[in-house]
Amino acid sequence: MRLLLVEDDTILGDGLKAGLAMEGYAVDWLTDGAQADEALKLNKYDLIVLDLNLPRMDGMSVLKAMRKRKDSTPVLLLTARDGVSERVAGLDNGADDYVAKPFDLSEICARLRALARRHEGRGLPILEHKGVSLDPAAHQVHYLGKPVELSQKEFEILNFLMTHIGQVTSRPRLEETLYAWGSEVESNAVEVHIHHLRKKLDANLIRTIRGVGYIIDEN
Amino acid sequence: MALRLRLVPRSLKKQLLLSLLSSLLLVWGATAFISYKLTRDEITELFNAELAQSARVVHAFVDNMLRQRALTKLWEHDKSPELFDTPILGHKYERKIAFQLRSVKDGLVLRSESAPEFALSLTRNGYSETMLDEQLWHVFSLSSENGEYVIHVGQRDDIRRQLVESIAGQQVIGFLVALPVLGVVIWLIVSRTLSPVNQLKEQLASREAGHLQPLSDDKLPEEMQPVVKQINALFAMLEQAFANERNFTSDASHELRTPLAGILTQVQVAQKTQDPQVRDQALQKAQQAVLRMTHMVQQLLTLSRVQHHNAVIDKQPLDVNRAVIGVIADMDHVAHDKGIEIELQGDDGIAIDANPQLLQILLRNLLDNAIKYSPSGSRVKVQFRRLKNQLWLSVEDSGPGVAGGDYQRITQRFYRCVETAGSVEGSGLGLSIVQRIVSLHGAEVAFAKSVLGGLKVLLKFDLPNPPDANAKDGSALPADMI
Repeated sequence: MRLLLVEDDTILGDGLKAGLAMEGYAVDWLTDGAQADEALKLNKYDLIVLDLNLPRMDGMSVLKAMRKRKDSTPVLLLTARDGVSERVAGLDNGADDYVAKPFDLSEICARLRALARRHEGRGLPILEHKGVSLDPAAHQVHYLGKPVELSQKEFEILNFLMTHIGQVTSRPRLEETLYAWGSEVESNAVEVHIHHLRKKLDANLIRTIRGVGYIIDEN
Repeated sequence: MALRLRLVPRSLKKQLLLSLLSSLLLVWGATAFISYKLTRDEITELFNAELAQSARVVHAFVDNMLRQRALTKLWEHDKSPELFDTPILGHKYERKIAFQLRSVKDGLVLRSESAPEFALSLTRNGYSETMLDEQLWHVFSLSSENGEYVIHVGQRDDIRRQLVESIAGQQVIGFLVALPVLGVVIWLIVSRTLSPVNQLKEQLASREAGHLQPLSDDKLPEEMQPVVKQINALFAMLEQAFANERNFTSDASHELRTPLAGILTQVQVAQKTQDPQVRDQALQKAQQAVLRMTHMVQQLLTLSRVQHHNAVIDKQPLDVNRAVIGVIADMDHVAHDKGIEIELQGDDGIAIDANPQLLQILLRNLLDNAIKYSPSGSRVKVQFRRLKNQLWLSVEDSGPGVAGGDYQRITQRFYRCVETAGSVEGSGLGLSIVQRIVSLHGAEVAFAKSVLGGLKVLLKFDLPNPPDANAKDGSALPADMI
């Protein structure tokens, strides 16, 4: 999943980027609000972690601007204030959740998973389709009741396709969810991962639509 | 000793009541006494006048009768008092007057019942006092024109006295009755007038320490308005001080949360990762964050200390050159590590009145900022000069400066410039500390763009003594100081 992290504190930003990357997120990290606003206009993200106290353009304005553009990407706010008012304002301005600093990395991850789930309109934490079950929290996949070992990227592709069942996903879109800015993308990487997934799971689970992309069919 | 007689009570109400009632009693008493005296004198006069009046009436009557020869009969008849002593009394005081008609030839001719047989007076005309049967008589005598007879009209002193006392006494009774009534009225008026004071007292007593809303001053008497205004002004000042304190604490906790979150996140990354390189880096970042927080906590403590400094600080004459060199020597290793050269230009022998610790904190903060914001291998410039009766001290750096000349905000606590916020580890407190110390010394601070490209901070301290004629003055000042 592609995630935008906006945090001006270098050490916290660095830590969050590393921590979230370990969870499999492709993290783009920006340190100022105006840059974040621009990035949001140009890119499609699955999740946003947004600090409120930012230089040049504060987090609340970034949030308001993106909601005004009808961008409904889930936003998790990071607040440093004790007061309720800031949180209320954040939620009322379109944030989906908030965490107060200092926070536990695992809590951020759990909240992000919950946000993604809700955004996709699912209530259940575990995805199940045609004998494949995927647990985003535990990073585990079972096929016909047996655990399957997947690499991080394979897991992310399967996760993305299983949350978009019945929808065709283009290769560049999949690449976006896998790679943050600055990471090197091998030209046929997605094909290789799909190939591995077909080998480890049902070969017919993921269907290729030539020239368009990939799909997991509804039935 | 501990026992002390308090003649004047502290309570305004008691004071007022005591003074009003005692002066009332005094004036009232004196008035009553004088009034009693005057009344008595007046009544005595009145009685005397009445004696004279009666004497003339009797004289007219007797004279008339003599002319008609009517009196002779009476004269012969009984020498009795019936003529004058009618049994029906017209007034309760009526009988108190006695009357004698004495002929020079025949002695007592007529007398009233209450009159004695002896002559009431030896005087033939006018007022006199006579002792008869151990009774004092006040007598008015009137003799006929031919001197044949004398009329004495008299009043017994004890009776008169009794009357006088009773009449005058009644007046005093009036006074005595009015006194407590007036006392009660005064008490009521005093209580009523002082009730705003009581209300104010209760309003204040019912307050809790944190409740600093202004007291309402409507319905208050004019005299109390200034007091309430002053109290409200004090409340406002306290409220402001409390608010500052609250903001400071809240800002501080806010500013500490982010680095804390950074440390926690880095430590958790280090715990979770399998990659030793990632772990090392995370731990290094965590350590860096702890050092940064330590610095910030130190700055917070310093700021809180200088903010709580009283307006009056201990100052002593300090040699500026020595103070500046001391701080530069302390900071030199930091500058050296970044390859920054610190350039010092200053006059010898300038002394200012300053607090040594605070001045050191001030200079250290300025120099620390300058080194921090200057790129490696650049210059930092410190200059000080005497200009007329002031010391001008400037610290300049080769950093990015302040964009748009927004110098207003850089002394706000926790404010950090956008340009440098990401790259330089600062607490955002240094210049707040500088400004506070400057104002504690009654000095001035100004910001400008430096010729080195970065920020120039200029301090102006008043010098304790005017420079003597030999000393350098403003003409020696280099153009870039101004």
